[in-house]
Amino acid sequence: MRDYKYVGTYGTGLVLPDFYNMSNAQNQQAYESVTGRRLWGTYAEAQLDYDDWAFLTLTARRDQASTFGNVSTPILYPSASLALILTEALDIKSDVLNFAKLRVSSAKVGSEPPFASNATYFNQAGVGSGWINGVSFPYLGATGFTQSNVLGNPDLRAEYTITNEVGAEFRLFNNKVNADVTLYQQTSEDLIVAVPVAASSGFTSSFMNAGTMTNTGVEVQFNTNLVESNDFTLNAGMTFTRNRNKVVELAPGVDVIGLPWGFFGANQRLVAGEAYGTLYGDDWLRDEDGNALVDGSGYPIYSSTEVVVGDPNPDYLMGITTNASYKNWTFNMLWDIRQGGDIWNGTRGALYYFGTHEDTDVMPDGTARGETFVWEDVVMGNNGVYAPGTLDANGNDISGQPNTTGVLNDIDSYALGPLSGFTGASRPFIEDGSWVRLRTVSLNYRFDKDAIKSTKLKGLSVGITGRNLFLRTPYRGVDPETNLSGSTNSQGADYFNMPNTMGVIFNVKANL
Amino acid sequence: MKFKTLIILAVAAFGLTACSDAWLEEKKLDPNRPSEVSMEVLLPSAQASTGMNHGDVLPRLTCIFMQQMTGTDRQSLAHNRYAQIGEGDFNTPWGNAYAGGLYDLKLIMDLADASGATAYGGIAKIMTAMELGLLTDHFGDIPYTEAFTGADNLKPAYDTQEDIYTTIFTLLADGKADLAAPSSVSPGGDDLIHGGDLAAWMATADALKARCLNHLSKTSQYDGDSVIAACDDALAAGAYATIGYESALNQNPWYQFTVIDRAGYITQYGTMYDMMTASSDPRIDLYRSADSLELPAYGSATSALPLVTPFELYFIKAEAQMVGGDATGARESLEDAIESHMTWLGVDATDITTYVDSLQATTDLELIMNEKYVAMFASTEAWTDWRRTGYPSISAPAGANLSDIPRRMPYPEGEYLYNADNVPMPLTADPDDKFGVTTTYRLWWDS
Repeated sequence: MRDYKYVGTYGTGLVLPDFYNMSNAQNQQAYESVTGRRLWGTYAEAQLDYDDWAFLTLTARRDQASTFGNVSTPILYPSASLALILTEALDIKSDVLNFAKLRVSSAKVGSEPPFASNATYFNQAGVGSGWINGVSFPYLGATGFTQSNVLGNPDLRAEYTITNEVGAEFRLFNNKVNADVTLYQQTSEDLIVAVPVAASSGFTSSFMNAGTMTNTGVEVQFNTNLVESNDFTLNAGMTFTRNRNKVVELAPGVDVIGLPWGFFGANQRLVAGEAYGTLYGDDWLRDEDGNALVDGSGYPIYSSTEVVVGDPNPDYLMGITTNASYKNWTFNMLWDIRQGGDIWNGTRGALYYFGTHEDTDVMPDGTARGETFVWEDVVMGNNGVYAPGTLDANGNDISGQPNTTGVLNDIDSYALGPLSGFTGASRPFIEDGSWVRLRTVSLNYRFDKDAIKSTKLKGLSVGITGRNLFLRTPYRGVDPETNLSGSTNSQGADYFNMPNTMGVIFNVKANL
Repeated sequence: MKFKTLIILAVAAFGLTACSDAWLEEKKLDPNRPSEVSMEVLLPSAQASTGMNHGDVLPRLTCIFMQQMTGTDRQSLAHNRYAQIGEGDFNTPWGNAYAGGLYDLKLIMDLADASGATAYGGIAKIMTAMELGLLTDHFGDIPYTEAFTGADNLKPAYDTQEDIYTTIFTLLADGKADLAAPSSVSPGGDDLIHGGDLAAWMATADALKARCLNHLSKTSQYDGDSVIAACDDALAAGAYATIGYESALNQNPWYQFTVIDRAGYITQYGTMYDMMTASSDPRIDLYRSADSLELPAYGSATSALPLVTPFELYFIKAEAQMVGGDATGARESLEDAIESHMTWLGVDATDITTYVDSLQATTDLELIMNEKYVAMFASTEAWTDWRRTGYPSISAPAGANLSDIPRRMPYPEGEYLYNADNVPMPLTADPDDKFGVTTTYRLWWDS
């Protein structure tokens, strides 16, 4: 059982300066919110242990939840896992292979619908837009309620995730090397999503069991104690994750689920057969070979049909740690690596429009403002070809020939032409969001007990930590680790987002 | 025995669930929100939504198109060049209507039918007609017959604009008939537009009828006499319909945009200001502040937003008279319109007379429409009038991304994504089409 209650009040228009009390507010608004959920669960677990080398765990669970339209709806989910310690089973006693364990598991986990998804409610009314706050009730002395834009669904089924996993764990060379490898395959069925729908239905989203998605991947952890002596230890570790996501199918009647950026430009969608949150956007018109079509003026021709322009999911993630200690000194370092993962650089698109991006002064190829350049298509790496029907100055048909027409690096290309994020396609602003980042590096010194004997301290250490001191990325914005919509499920959009902070922290730690 | 441990944990046995259902039922529904409400709380909500749709995104864009305001910064600068007017921009007004005000009005109609509250039903029908008129004049064909069906049909078909106009006239006639019938319960303070004054609602219905009949000026359905008759009906009862705003919260949407949230995005320069300067219009100081950023008459925090007005009706009447060959009557209506508007704004009587006397002696359609263009500032009607009559005679500004002034708004992105089979205009790959849809495409009444 989980219950949350929020009660609060806020006031605006304080009359007396520096007097922070509700009695001083010209406008006061109170709010109350209670959310709660009850779960009725029964659970059973069996553990079998054979000769200290084979372990079998079986579980089964049955839940009922208050958030279903029919609270009798059961959520049933079992799991089974088997672990074999090979070094015990085969009685291996070796300096090379100290420990080996294999594990296999299959687990199903069910979850209930979210709070308040089982019915359609009326909300205290308020009308706004992305531009202004608008109007909210109470307004002109009246109380207003409006039907929620979210269509409730009393027929929701439980959402299930089935995870099949195979893993192995090894300790080698007198425990100097540890390795752990896991392969997993995860299927999520009957995903409960507030699916966006056409507003003309009277709703903007509707709770549904919206589809099936899979995640397949590998996780590797590797640790090695390179040096272990009384005064000096050095170990290095690595983690590696590679995940592949695929939307297998969407519910009948659902062709696409858009993720909410609520923004002009590229956008993210869930479409059957594609990865979660695949980036869609508009592009240039292209011929059968994919070459962009350019008109007689040397500019590419805009196509409003939105196509797949990128995948925000990374190819792999890697972390590399180094920890060293020498006498009283300790040193830690964490490198963070992301390979792949596309980002829509809406910031660059907007700055092109306003002529405030450095490219509009001197382009990456060296073209200064006011100079001529031949437009280049970032997708194919060529200058595009002339569109069907294009004629040269002499009236000859040059359709299909490579574009050689110069255009100016000036307002005609950007604010008034198709090359900015506001006036042209969004595809040229999709960039590789890979990075190599020195996430943290720190050095600490711990004083000996003897050195602080005269004080009453039980311990004293000083140190310095650097965060994000180094970043290497092909991304042309400030920082590829960014997300326009905060902590929601969508990712891969940069529109004047705040970057990570780079910082150096000095610390003194004393134990009393 | 090699099995060292064998543990079975059973927290609770399966099947003992009968008693749990009632315990779960207690927490089934959201205690914060009602699942049924009355007409008294739906009506103000629908009216707030209507106010925002008449005062936020749509009129701001049409005022830029009509060069009554100039987009001078950020997205508004792009809008001034007809760039970045994409499908994404219209999710708000479309959603505010379909998933907001229009749906609440439909619920009021249903509740009114069930309880004999014809006063509420009549107001809901008239307001629905107003909102459908606003939407169809911007987008063309729109859903209505199949709209608001929720889970039964999440992909409603579109009605043609011609059918929507028929629906509007039917709703207005039925709404008036409802208001004339005895009602089980009547609105009061919950009616933010007319305070429960049903006669004023009937006048509003006549005013909307006059406006919509006049919109048909390019079609074979146009009938000038019925336009004039509807104007006279509305004017006889006085025909102001406005919605108010508050000083601290819930300010006028123009004020929120130009002063609070988006200062400097739009300023009052352009064709309208030039015309007013040339004619020494006494309304200039009421239209714009010294720094041209604020709109004293239309965009102070508490400025009421006009929905229908007598001066609009006098202009409509003048146009119909002029088209019908009655130049003398048209002149009279034109002067009534200007006096009505200036009086409403608080212009001195002597200044009104000076201005009216300074107008060109010959009465023609251009004079009427140019004067209406100035008076209908802040309303989307100026754009509709330009599309119908070609006045004022303006063209796309230098540097615009389109050679012509847009004649329609693109459908919202949500319809293209989630109701693609029904949206009447497919996204095109037309080389000249920067918006993804042809904004120079003409609506039914514009053809």
